[in-house]
Amino acid sequence: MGGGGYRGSMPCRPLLSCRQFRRLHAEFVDGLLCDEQSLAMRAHGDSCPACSALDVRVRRSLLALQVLPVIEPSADFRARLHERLTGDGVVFRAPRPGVRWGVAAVMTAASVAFLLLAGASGVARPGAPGLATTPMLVATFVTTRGWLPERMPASMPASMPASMPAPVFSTTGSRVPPRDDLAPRAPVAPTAHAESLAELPRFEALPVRTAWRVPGRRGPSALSSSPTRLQLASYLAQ
Amino acid sequence: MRQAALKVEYAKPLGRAELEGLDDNALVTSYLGGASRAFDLLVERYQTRLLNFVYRTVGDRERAEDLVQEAFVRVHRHLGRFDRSKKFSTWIYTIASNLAKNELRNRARNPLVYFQTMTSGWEDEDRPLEFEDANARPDDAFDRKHLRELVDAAVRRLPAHHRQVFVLRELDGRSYEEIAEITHCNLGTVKSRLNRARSAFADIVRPAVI
Repeated sequence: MGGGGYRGSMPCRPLLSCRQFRRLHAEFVDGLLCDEQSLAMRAHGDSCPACSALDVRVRRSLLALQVLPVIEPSADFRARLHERLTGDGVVFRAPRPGVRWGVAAVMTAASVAFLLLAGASGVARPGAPGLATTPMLVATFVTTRGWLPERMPASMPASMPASMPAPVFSTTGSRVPPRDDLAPRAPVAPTAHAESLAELPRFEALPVRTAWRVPGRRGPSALSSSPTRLQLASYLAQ
Repeated sequence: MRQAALKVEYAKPLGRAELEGLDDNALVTSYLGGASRAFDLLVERYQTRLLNFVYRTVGDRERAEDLVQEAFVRVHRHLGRFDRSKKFSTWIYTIASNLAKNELRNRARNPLVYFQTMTSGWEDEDRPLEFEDANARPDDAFDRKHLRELVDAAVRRLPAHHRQVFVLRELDGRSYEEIAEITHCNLGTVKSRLNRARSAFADIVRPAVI
């Protein structure tokens, strides 16, 4: 017992006044005082009947607390809690193991980049007025995760076919008007068009758990969640 | 190329036995990571302790259960914001303590409602049956029951801010530092309140224990 323990709120003194005794009494009862302080408290108790009586009274009364029963929750406590948690709209949606929002963001960014690159290299015509400067947002439907864009334009059809590719919206949320150069060169029957759309790879359907090899790297750093242009192009070509 | 795409395996979810071995903060992490059972275990660990704490603070069993449920709902709602570098127990006790304090404050503002709530369950038939030990002498059982009622009443008679500190320390075994955090007081105030509460409690139960 080196006296290096909890020293309480008062400095160690050999003699204590009644006021100091009462002030340190809670820590004394709980055994939180250092050796010197405990000795000083005992010494004061031996010399002061009033403080000694207080000490005895408090310690005995605290023993009486043991008769208090432990209250157990009612039988339906858990059921009611579960009901409140699920039925009250306060369910904390713990992310499922397969859901990684970082990966989702990377994949969305990759799909946006691909569309922009594809538009700039092969489809966009330099003379197209106005459209090249129109900032575009691509609303990707991550349907496999139950996520949908919060702001859906009013002009969006209520029931979209499952294979509908991601529509293109401007930053204001309105649909970008169709461009002549994006229109199919040969007229296609509606059903055939729908089938060809169904065959198109959907960006939202890209496996979110897929890792891509980074050329020129080895080991764990050779894995990346974002493919290179070549990898993405060859993946989409299949 | 699809051949180049490597599947990344995710860790398997932990079973109940494995979850039971985790501490509170690890359970929170597990729950946020998708282990839905982890929250059940947290409820299991704290429901009785919180109920006793709140019941001793507000003095009304049914209301205490409601408040503990509310505490769990709030914990559930804000679990994502919980600072996992701190103790979960302190956090959940702080929430329950705030709810209990609000309850006491509301009662002080509107005592009539509380009186009606109290008197609605006063019929003897509604009380749960209590079975005493058959081997004990009747006068022992009587003394024990009498002492229990006296102690219960003594705790209730303490001023609310003293009672809270007293219950957290004496019935729940919280450290002074934790109590200070839960009750938003400094350490000196906690010690002072505890001293006063103990002294007042001792005075009330004195006839029965000395």
